[in-house]
Amino acid sequence: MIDSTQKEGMDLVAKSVTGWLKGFIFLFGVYLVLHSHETPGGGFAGGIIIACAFILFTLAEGQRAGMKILSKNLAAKLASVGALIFLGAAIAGTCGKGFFCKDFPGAAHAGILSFFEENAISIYDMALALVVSMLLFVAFSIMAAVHVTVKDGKRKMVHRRRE
Amino acid sequence: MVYALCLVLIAIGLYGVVVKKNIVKIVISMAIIEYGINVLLVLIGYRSGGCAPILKQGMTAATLAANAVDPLPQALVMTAIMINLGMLILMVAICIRLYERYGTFDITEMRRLKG
Amino acid sequence: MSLLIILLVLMIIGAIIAIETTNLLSSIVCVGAVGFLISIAFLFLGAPDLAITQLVVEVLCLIILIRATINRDLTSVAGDREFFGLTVTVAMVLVFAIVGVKVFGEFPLLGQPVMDRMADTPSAVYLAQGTEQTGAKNVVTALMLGYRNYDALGQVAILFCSVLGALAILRRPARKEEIEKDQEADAV
Repeated sequence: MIDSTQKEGMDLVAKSVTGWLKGFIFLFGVYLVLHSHETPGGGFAGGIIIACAFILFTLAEGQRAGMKILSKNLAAKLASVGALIFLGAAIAGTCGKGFFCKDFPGAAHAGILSFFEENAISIYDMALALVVSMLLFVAFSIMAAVHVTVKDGKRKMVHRRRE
Repeated sequence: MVYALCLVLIAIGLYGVVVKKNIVKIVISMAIIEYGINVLLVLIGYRSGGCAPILKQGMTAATLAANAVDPLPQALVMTAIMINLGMLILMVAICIRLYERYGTFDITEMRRLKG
Repeated sequence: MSLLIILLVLMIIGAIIAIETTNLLSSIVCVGAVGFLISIAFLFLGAPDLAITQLVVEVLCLIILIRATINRDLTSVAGDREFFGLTVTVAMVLVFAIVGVKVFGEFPLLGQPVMDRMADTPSAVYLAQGTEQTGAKNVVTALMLGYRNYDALGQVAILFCSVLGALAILRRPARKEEIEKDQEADAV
């Protein structure tokens, strides 16, 4: 889809508009995740919007610039980190009464952890948004932005297309 | 009735999956079936004149329980939408690989060529 | 109520156009239109969470579908399958319709959810006690991430599986000539 003549991305109009808008889209996604306990939204919608911000940047500026901001391997690692946070929060609730329990141990003391004491949904929301956004960026990137090459006898997926 | 129209939408998607030859058309018909099922599920939990299940300022839980639409089908349909996205990613990956192997999207040709 | 019927009729027209048109790009755009109409229908049915999610998932589906077809030479379809497939389809759709009409008797009437008829349904309990037990004012989020958190865990697992599957499929190049071409480019 992205060949050598389009390595620099799209034309000037698309690049300028993306440069202005990408911050707002990312911020809107983060807002939807953080306020999901009182307005409609939730981790899924916010995560997808965050992924769309990165996808828009990669499409408009080309593969090289997109790779500098977020590469496929880094996104995969962040997705795994997000899944581990989700599971860790679930297991930490086991110390209270059961799996996915609402009470975190020792949360009454620290200031920031008391936020999680009142609405324990928030940590699951944030972990879910991280997982969903990074996974969808990996899915887009392996379909449209990477190319399979053989290096040292093993197959790898690299970002730059060989011409 | 509104349920009948939803079933017509699902039946149209089913027709597309069984009859069409182009594999991208089959994927698109699968997406239409999923959309029809989602609308049917949310329609079951609708209350006429009801509000969304969000507690606003100055509302008690009792008034919310008396006025809101059913929140349970909405949670299930949210899960279903994300599952459909995952299914579409996998189906389109298969389509891409099939095109690069056989050079066509036509599924009747894919039985005869042995690339 | 009549607005819902208008939206559904428009969706059916869009679906018929999406399936029958010969240009692949037009049919993908029509599927996008059907998804957008569904998002509007969710807004009228009192589900703002679902409207936002359906809209952004629709956009992502369009991006992924267009990537599958944009550079391909074959952007027009060949036609339908032969007569046997058509009769099987018509028979299946008839059976579907007959069974559907029978099932209509079990559905609640439009506008009166099951909560009204029975007193101790789970939805009534979630609406009445959801906010104080989970601390979230949005009952749908309280359901998805509070009461039914195992569903969210399963969601994460499904998304991981689908992305891993796509990675496993797209990892190998399709023909041997591509591997040899890359090895020559490496050697040069």
